[in-house]
Amino acid sequence: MTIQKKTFAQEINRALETAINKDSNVLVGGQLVRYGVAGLTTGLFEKYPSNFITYPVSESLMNSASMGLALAGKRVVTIHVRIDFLASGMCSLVNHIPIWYHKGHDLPIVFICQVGKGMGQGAQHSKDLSSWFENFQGWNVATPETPGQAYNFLLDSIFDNKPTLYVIHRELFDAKEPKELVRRQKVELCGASRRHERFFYGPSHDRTFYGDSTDYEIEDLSQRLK
Amino acid sequence: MNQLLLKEKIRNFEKRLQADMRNIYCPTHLALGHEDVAVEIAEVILPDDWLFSTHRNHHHYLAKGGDEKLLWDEIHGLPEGLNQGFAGSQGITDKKLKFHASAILGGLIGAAAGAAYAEKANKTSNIAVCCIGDAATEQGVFWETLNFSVLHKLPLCFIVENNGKSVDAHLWERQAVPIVPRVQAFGVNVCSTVSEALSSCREQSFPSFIERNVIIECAHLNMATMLDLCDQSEPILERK
Repeated sequence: MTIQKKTFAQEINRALETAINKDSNVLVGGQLVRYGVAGLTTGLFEKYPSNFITYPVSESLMNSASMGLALAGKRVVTIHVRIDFLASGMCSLVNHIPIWYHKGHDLPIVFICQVGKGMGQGAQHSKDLSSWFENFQGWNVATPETPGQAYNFLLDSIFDNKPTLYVIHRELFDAKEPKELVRRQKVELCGASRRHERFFYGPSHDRTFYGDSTDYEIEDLSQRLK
Repeated sequence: MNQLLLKEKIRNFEKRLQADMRNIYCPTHLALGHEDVAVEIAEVILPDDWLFSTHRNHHHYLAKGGDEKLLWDEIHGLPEGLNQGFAGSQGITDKKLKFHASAILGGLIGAAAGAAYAEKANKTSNIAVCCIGDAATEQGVFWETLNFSVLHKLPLCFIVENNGKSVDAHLWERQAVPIVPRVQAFGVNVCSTVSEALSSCREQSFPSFIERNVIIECAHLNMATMLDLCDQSEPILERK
């Protein structure tokens, strides 16, 4: 009998269900939680409607409300489909949540968001803001690299009282085998074309990411990104 | 507490601070002229309700039953202060009183919605009261929260203390049309008194709103110990 390997999405889904069953105060919010968020919440909204919040497209409100919910005793998971959408509501992430944590308030909040890679997502969707948060007192950053870590890190974060940015790297999300993640100390910007990706991710990108062995030209972006 | 006593308590506290400004090292916004709103809140707010406030918050904190000495010590940066001197005047928080204030204009509006959501989810009769100034209604999160709070029928009461100024800038140069009809368009219960706003919010478990005009009787910011980018001169009041 072959054992089916779990995907990141399945493990995140499982962690959310475990957390909800462990503590009825767990509240999962997002704009698309009703619709499954590519598997993260599939089946859970219908099963545990009182543990879900559906938000309008209002990121400032979402991030700030997450703090209010946590102050009132909830364990909050707020899902942004992309990390740049999280950044659209930056005020409470910078001006309130880390400061309130240091004023002595427990803030069990996990923001789940995704960093894109390839497929022309470019500077908008593929920039990784983790290093901002890693350098910011009052924040934990969790970056799972395997489905098993995705489960464990999420549960640990939900039941920690410190706010956590939980970053899913899109390239790992549906990976069948472990991949080494490139960690960047700076927030770096990739262009939205294959020639830009080749420069940004290196010449092996076409082969490793797209399975394409063609020898393409690389556009040097160093002048543009100076 | 008797209304007159609370008003006197707030005014005396603020005047003592004003006289002691040379010993204060954090940005401090006095509420002289705003205290009637706090007195009206104190009449109807309950201990288990939330009160969210702004950079100008001393009157709200005292109205929620806050401790004068803890507040005084916090503003003076002492370890005995409400937040051990970490918050300063503008960002005081008191877990027991469910009181939170922030220097960021409109910064806690969404947090108030989150607290109101939690109270509703817990099926309590507690409400969240969110005090803001007129300029906070210029922030996007105010409109995001109006929409969300009506959509989810949240027990959230907005109190706008309109003193007509944002630091030096007048209301007429910042807002195209009056605030009330715009709020009404979201379906929020617009009330004519603070008391009515809190009561209707609690009884109907639905967002309410009150715009309360006030005349500020002190400088926007009182800071004796450093230069700042805004006018700190005391206003010349033209009362009717």
